[in-house]
Amino acid sequence: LPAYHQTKSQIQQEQNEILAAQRDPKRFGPVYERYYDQIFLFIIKRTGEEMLAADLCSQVFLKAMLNLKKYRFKGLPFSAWLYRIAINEVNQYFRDNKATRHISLESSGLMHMLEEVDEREGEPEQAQIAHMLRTLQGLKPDDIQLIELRYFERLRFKEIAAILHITENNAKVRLSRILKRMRKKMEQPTG
Amino acid sequence: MPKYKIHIDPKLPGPEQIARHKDFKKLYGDYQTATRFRFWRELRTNPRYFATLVMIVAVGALVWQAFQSDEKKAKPFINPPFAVQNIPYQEVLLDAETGKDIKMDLLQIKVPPLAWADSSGEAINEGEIRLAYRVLKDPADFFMAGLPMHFVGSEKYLEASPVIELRAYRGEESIQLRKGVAVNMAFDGSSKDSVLSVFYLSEREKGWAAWQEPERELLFDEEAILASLPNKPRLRSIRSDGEVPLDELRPKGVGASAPVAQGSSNADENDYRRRLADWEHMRDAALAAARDSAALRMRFQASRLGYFGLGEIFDAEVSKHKIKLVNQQGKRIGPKLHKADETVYLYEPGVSTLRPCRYNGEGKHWIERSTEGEAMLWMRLPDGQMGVTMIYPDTEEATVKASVGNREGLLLLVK
Repeated sequence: LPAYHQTKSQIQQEQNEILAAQRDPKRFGPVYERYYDQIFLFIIKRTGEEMLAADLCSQVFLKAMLNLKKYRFKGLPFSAWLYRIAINEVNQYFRDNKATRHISLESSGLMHMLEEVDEREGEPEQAQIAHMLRTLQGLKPDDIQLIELRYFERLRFKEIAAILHITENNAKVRLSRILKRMRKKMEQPTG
Repeated sequence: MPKYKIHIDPKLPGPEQIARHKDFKKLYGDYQTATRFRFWRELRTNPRYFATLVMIVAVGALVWQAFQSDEKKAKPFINPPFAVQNIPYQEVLLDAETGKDIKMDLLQIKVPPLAWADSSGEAINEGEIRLAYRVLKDPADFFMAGLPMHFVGSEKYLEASPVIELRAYRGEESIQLRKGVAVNMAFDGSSKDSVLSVFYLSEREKGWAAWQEPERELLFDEEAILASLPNKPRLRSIRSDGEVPLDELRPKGVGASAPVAQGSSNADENDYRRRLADWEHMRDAALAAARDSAALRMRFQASRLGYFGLGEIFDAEVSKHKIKLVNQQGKRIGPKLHKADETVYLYEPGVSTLRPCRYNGEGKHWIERSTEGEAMLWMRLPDGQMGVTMIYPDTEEATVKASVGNREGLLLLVK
């Protein structure tokens, strides 16, 4: 499981590490070790390039260190804060470079999503998936982001809300609207 | 053209591949570099940083301006702490043409005829002149009058007793002495004052300066003292010097014609010498006592008006004590400190001079005091009470409590 699924005592222990790092940035090392892989993978799934992912990942941790004193514990794992920085870095990269966004999907997540958006019966699964992927191409980056976090990073709404800096309810409503739009689009005959 | 590049089940780098990019040392190095010049970098990109800098500059400019205007509104050189409690003047009216002798208990002022000129130097030959004068007897009076006591251009202080101030007015116009004319001043002190010289407080040079040595005259009547003594002893025994008739020395009655015994004559002479020595000792003691208790009249010429002090220059070994004004929470009372030289004074009875607190212009204040003896620390708060406390040679920290309005319990620490 990703490190953002933590027990209360793990979160508390992590909080102590963060407090120590706030006093002395050298002590940020354990946090860096724990989350580097996760953040790296999170970025490479969206950029598709290893060196670029490594570069952006370094930027994420540097920004985290520079702003560590501003970090306030709100009962969530520290990773939620790192993910937020990572999303901002990735978005900034695409804004600056006008590069094509990558979407990395796992089959299992894809099937789960498919169950939610395509209620039609009789159509072959491959065709349904192809149809859904075409529909994804029509979504805005913000909508894609929400879908990625929910179906492919498998985050809870509470965590999504913390990462996107919105309320939990807002995250639910937004996802529901996106799925509704997708459903509507997929019901239209393919042309 | 597709908007997104979609990968299904992409092959992602494994832990070993990711570990090649992991380098906390490099990250920490980047962090140190970034924090070193962070403010200036942020300044270019972050409007909040820019706004902060603008605000700092604005506040700095305001403080500087306030400080400058404070300097411009420099306090008067002679600055009485409590206008209502200042030592009052005595006034006498005199005729410009004739002058006047003014006699008080201890002070005599002899104003010669035609002594005055107006502020432009034009002679005043007639009309009524109002002479205002006062005698400041001790440091408490100097304090109330707001007099600085330091010597011009040095770290020395004047130990004065008394200070005499002389002013003159025609109507409400302040006037001066005519060039070449002096008012004769005489002050009656005690014989112990024979070491005193006359000093003048120069308001232009901002300090006391030597004026002149006074003419000194002991006021006692030697003849009256001698008259009060018993008669001087006379020689009653036989002598050939004619001081006493020889027949007085001869034995009376039987054997009167017999020659005087040599021994008798010596005995009388010895007795005389002893009684004479006693008398002379008594006379000297009486004269010495009279001299000691006699008033010493010190005369000097005041060719200008202002403050004249009879005293000595004091150059005692002093120790410096840093001071700060803080409130009850120990927090420094910042801006007031710039005026601490008006706020804190030290009075040492043994030295009889009042020293203001010094300020070095960089946030440091100190007060000097003798390394011996007790002293009184005065703190005057603007428009508020005056606090006083005693300090001793070994006092390292003292507290003076006073209040201004609802701000109570301001402290002065001496370290």
